[in-house]
Amino acid sequence: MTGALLGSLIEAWQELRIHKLRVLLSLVGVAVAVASLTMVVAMSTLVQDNFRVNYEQMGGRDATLQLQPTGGDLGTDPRKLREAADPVLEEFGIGHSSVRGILDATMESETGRQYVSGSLVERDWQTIHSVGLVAGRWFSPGEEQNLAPSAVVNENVLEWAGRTRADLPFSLSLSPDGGDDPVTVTVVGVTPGNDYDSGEAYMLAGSPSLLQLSDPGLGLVMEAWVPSEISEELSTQLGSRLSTATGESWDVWRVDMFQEGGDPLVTLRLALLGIAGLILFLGVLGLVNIALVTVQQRVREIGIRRSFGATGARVFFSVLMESVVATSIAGVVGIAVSVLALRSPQVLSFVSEGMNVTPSFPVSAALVGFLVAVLSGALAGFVPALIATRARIVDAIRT
Amino acid sequence: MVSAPLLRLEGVARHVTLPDGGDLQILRSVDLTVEEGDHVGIVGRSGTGKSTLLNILGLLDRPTAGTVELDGVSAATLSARRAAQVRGRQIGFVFQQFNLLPGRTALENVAHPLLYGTAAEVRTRKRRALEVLERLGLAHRAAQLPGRLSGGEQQRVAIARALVRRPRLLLADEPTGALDVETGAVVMDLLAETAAESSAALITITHDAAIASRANRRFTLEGGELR
Repeated sequence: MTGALLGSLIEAWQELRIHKLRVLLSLVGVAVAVASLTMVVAMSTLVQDNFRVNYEQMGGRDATLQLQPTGGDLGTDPRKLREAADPVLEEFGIGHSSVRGILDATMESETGRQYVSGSLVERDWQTIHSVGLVAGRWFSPGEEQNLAPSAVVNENVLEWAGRTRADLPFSLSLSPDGGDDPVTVTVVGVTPGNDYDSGEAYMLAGSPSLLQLSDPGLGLVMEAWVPSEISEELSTQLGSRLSTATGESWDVWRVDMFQEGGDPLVTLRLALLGIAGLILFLGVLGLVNIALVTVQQRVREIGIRRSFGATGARVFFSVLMESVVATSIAGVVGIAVSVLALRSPQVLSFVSEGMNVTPSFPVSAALVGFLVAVLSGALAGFVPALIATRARIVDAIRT
Repeated sequence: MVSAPLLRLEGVARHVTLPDGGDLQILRSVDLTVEEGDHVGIVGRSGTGKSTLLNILGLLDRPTAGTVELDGVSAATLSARRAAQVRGRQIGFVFQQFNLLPGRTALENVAHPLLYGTAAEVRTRKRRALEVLERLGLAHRAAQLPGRLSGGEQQRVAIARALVRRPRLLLADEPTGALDVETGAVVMDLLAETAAESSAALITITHDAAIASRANRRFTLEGGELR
């Protein structure tokens, strides 16, 4: 069996080598189709990943619940909020949660006063919102006890501060809205900047110096990352349980952007896949045509092979393999072309807009491309292979 | 216990149905026994059924009547797949028109039958092919394509290809038909010599009585029978 497979592959390779030009011409269509198909799959995968990351950064992972106390002073003190919510979260086995409050501020820069959108968060915020860093680090355990609150800012703030990534950690003065004295924070990490010139800063919610600010209306809420499939049921149960446990009323609802479901790119993707499929169909048709003509010309040669002991099955497999090996090579070329195309700065900036890291080529797209190439080869080689096995040896040798 | 002959034909007949519904009797009743190491020459004029007989001997075709046995096993009991395997392992063909595979070098042509063998044969095919080419004095032409070889060289490559799997039966169909007299004589000497070296039986089918006369046992195919 191993010998037959090895022999067939060698035979197929010899045949392709001998008919280089024919193979090359017949495979251009297949290579183009595989490249298009791989590109479509890769781009839609990348754009989808991009959407997912953006969604996670904006609204949290699938599924994120917001837990908001609607009365009392729980919404003004992050420590009280945490103490109140923790037993219930533990009871429900929820492992990732973070307090979130708003602390908008301004800062001085060379070009004037800049607005910084500040968020008071806890360590799990990074997990829940997939916060990526371009430099430095996220908050460490116990860091909220530091006298100068730690902060993670985006690249816009870094630039306004006249600093570079190499300056980390450094002190930064922020003036909270509401007229409080400026707060000096220690910047320990940097998130990517954005195109809207918006300054962003994350600060640890439990930092004592931030708790002393005069504005009690931090609008504190709790966010929790829960299994998507039971999120609806959890919303109801959590609200009820938190109200019972704390004696205050709680609103719980889902805030992530995955609840809508569906695929925003489905139309575009289907259109592109349709075009790639059509190119592939034409490519395979050309391949079948050439393979049929060629196999008619090769009846004598096939007869000679049969006289050496090639069985009908072996002839079928060999002719099929010629096609499969050829389209596999075309597939690899097509995949390589699509990888190169996706590495071009224009395409890359389109698919990776807003992402923290440069996306790598999705392996799934390459696998789909290769599989399609192999299947095209098998499809295109089937009929010629059948004709080859039906040739009578005696007649073939006499031809 | 007497062992079965390498090849035995008894009452072998072959007829074909013509397009007009008539019946054309090519072979009527052929009896032949071939032992290992035999050199059999069969001579016959064009159209007497020489090639048909060779096809039946080489398991490329089946008789319409009679028995063909290889090592005592009836060819009629062999499936097409098994017949192909037996053909590959035990029978070597040398054709009038050489039938070398185009686009492949002499070495690749000789090595080709080994691609239908075991994994070990596939792996060692080039070394074994070169050994046979060396025996036939063609090692220095191993990298040449068929088109760059003379007729005599091409037939020697074909002989090397027929011998590479060490067959027990060599079937030569007009092996000198496309060669000049002198080259034909050299090729025939070589064929007989290499067959004898490997103890293979050699059956030469030809229209040339001089070629047939080189065999130890000679027959004439006439009227669909061997005489």
